[in-house]
Amino acid sequence: MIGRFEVLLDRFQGGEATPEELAELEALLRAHPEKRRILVERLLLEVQLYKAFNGIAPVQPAPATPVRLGWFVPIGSAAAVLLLALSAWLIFYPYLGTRAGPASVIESGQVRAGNATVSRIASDVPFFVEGTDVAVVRLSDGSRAELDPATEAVVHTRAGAARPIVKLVQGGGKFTVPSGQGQFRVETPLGTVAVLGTEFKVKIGTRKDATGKETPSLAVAVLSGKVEVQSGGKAHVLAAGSNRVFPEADEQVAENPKQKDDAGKDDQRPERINAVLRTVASAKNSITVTTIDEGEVVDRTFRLTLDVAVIVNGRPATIGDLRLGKQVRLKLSDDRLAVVEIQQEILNQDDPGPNEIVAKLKNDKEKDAKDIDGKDMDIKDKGEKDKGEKDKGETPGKGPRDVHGLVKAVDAVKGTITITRKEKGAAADRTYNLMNGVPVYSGAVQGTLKDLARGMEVNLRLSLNRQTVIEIRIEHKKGKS
Amino acid sequence: MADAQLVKQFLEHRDVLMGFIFALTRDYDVAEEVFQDVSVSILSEASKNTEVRSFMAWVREVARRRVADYYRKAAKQNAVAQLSDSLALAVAEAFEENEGTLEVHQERMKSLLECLKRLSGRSREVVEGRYHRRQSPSQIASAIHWTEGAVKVALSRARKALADCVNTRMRVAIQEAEQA
Repeated sequence: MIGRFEVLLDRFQGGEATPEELAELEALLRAHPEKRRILVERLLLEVQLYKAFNGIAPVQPAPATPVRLGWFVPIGSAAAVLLLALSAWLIFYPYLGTRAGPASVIESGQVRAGNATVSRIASDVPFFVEGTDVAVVRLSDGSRAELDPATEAVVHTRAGAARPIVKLVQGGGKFTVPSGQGQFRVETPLGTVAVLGTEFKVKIGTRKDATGKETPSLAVAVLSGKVEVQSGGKAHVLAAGSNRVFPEADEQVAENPKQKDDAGKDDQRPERINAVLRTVASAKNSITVTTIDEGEVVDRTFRLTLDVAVIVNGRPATIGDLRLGKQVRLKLSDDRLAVVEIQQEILNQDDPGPNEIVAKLKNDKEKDAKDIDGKDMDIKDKGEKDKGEKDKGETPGKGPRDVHGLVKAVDAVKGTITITRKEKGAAADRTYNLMNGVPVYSGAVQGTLKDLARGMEVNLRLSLNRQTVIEIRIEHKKGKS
Repeated sequence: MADAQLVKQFLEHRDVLMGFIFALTRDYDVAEEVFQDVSVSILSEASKNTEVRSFMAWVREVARRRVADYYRKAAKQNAVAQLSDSLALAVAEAFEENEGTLEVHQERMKSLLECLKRLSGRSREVVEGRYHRRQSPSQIASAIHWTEGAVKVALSRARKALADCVNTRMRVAIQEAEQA
């Protein structure tokens, strides 16, 4: 017999619970620690069920008599391993008893299914790209696949299902997937690529291992958006600009253009990349961004073209309107060494830093018993010197983190800055310690302490303990540069 | 070079974070979209060399805000209503108490895969329909010629059976480890 909590939990997970049921569930959760544990376990089970059925590992052993194995051509010399993976992988899809969905349409190129050249590909029917031209296939959800010659694949569509599933047997291509309902997947013998709305390339091929032996490989390049690749029992999140090869046996470094603008290699980069803006160096006319590539964060520097277009929140803007530390989308030149367009959506501009959020949560919940992160909530900025507090007007750890005033003096030797600011209606001088290498910004352009002059209007960003200046921004009045 | 420690922590807690986001959205596709947004926020902080002392508390709060952003942008299109602040907080507290470690989650995943091998018949069909083909209960019902109510009951029973199976295997694994 299923208890009331189980009923509520099911309805909650299914998104069907009424407001009254949600209130009842909340009351049960607050009253019973055991029910809180069950809630978390069930939610984790939900996540892991999606993972289990999306290519992490086979959920059944291989059948004694594999069916349809003749469709799949082993690649490279690891045929035995590949066949085992293929046969186990096949079991994911017992499509018996379910109705096939709409066919895919061949827009260009030559595609053979069975013994005939076709203009439409029915669901579940293997097909092959003949000739030397790329075949462009329009899938049932509006996605577009540009498949290389000699590509062999199957498209599975089901009546009522929003997304088709493409099983790539050999070859590869470029996929453009509009955002929409559900996840678009390209499944290969070496891994699964799952996306929600993006542009990426996937190719089955071979590469030489350390001994010079050719082994099967799956290459994935993300042109825009993000994809998740399930390979070798692991999930890899690839951002735009990523170019990875799987499987990554023995922690091999994948061939990918992680380096900065190296001539000769950059034409392989995608035209558009998403990243976080680090700095804009006006003197060098360059931009540095940070992007992530499976647990490793890399910086890249690009030139700015003279007529670089800047778009902020959908409107034309200037370099100075860009916000450092926020996501940007860059359009690169043909040689991929320069940026021709920068787009930035500035949302949640007032989001506090992580430790401030934790402090607020702690205060809101008034939980003394549980030490979330200790008494000391300071952000430790690397390079920060621990100097004594010189501003006697403020107690360390309290007061505003941003102070505004006019520069009175900068002592680079002592590492201090003195500003004149208004306190309770009267002008007062305050001296602050400076972090080593404190950045000085004028708009999005980074400079140094030498750019400061007496009388300049500045905004100082203080560390969490209010003892040190970690950022200086030169304020510009409208109409001035 | 930005600090990769935050990113490493993020990847280690990926499943837990997805579970939390799913709890707030109860739509797995939406949860995946929000998860990507949270990834960008973490990347942004990683680039600032910030040392975060309570990673999951911070990440859950970021996730909560991104879910709120999502509901604001898609207010008219949502089939699932947004959770109240108090219930969202109760869920966050539940996760805070029961996050578990990466090793535990990996062990649970292994146990789940073993338990799924034991699932067969119509139970397996509905579970595969839901989690592999991403079908709604009504779509599954159409495919296997059941009523939608019957499919929901079957899904509920299958989840409970899988949860019990996983917990049993975890208990056995713990006992074996203690005896070793």
